[in-house]
Amino acid sequence: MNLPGSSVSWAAKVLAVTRKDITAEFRTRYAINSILMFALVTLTVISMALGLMTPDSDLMAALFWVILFFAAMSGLAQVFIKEEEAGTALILKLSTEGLVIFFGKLIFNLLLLTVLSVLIVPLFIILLKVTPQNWAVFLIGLVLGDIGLAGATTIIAAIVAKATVKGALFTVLSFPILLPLLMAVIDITKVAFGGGNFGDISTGLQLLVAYDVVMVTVSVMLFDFVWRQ
Amino acid sequence: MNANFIVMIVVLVIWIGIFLYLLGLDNKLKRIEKKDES
Amino acid sequence: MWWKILIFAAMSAVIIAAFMTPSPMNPAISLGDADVYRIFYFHVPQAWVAALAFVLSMIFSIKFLKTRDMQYDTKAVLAAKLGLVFAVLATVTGSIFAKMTWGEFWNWAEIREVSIFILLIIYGAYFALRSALPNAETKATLSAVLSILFAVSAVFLIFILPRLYADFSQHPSDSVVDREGQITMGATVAAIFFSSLAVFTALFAWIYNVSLRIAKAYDKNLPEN
Repeated sequence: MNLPGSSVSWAAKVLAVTRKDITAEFRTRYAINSILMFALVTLTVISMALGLMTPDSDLMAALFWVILFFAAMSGLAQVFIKEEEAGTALILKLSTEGLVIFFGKLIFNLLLLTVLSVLIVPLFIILLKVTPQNWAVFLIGLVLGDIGLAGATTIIAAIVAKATVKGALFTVLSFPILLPLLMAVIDITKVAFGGGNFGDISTGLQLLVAYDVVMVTVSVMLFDFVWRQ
Repeated sequence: MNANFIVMIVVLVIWIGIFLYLLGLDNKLKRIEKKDES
Repeated sequence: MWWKILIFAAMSAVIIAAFMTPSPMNPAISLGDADVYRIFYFHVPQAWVAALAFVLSMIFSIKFLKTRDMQYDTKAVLAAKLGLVFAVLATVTGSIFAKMTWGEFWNWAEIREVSIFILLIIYGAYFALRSALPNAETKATLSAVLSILFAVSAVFLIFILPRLYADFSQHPSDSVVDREGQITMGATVAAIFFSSLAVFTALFAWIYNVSLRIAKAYDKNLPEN
């Protein structure tokens, strides 16, 4: 409870929310399984469909993010949906302020994406025989892209949790939100696969960082409206 | 009587139709709004 | 009353002028029949109104979140519905133009086609969310939040899309605004075009006004519970 004079720091509260979600996730493994399996299946389908073809690195960059995008769509809404389904949403609302919940779940989603990225990247390289020519550019794009994915969709997940149709709705609502992110990050990944350097992506990088910052900020400003419904 | 002319006539007819429909709605609303006030 | 007559006269004048004056496009450099470019007088204002309606809807959404007054939600939805109609019109007229000049109904490499498509998707998503929320207050609040998020995203798209499509655009940009940003339309073309822009905006305002009054009259005359 937010008792006056409470000595628990804001960061500690946020991490407590994250930790709670991680523990719950360990037991059921629902979201991580969903995300991983979706990514793996998509990767396999693409790999088999391409067969012996070796399409250019630009296409590979786009495909990489297609996989991540759809995997994210399959699993990132769970953070809020499971609260509604388990009936714990009300208790959560009473226990602490909205922003603590928001950041706690955002970090959780980011962790999910990190695990996904760490596992998918080697598989992607092996199965599709593509290697980033410039790892630094690739990793920066990946990290900022994951932050953007989690950052922009956390509030959407909260919105969808109150709706009746949930699964498909999350993708439909997230797509226009994520479009600038996808375009910017695919561009950067193209440069990474194709062997460019940081000079090539400086504008794209600025846009990406701006996107991440702005989307999280706007989400923070609007989150209470969603959470208090 | 070239293609331009025909298309223009068609568009004009459609426009007149839309306009008359809107006008009809507007007038019907005016009557309802007067009734609501009285 | 007189402004309705003015709208009628102005739109009729625009229609007549659009087809009776020389084509806005120079036949020497046009792709296909220069007459097809007349659609420009109607297609661009439709797209403009669709974007305007989107902005209007977002402004009403912000007002709703600030005041919690349901009438702003009604206005936001109304603006969105009308915006959708004009967006569809713009897409259709644009598609017809595309088929007659560039040979295909749709082309993903054309930035403006992508933009209007995204606008359609945004409207679609907005209504999809509303239909999935049974409670009126939840519906109003959450769709208002979504509207704002979409607007922010749209601003980013305005910056990002041109970077990616800089080399591809086949839209006849030189006939309106040339590379230095100066308007290159001839005087007649400009007169017709800007009149069309004005009358489409006025028409939108009128349709919006009528629709709003219908909604209010409907609410007032529902049998009391």
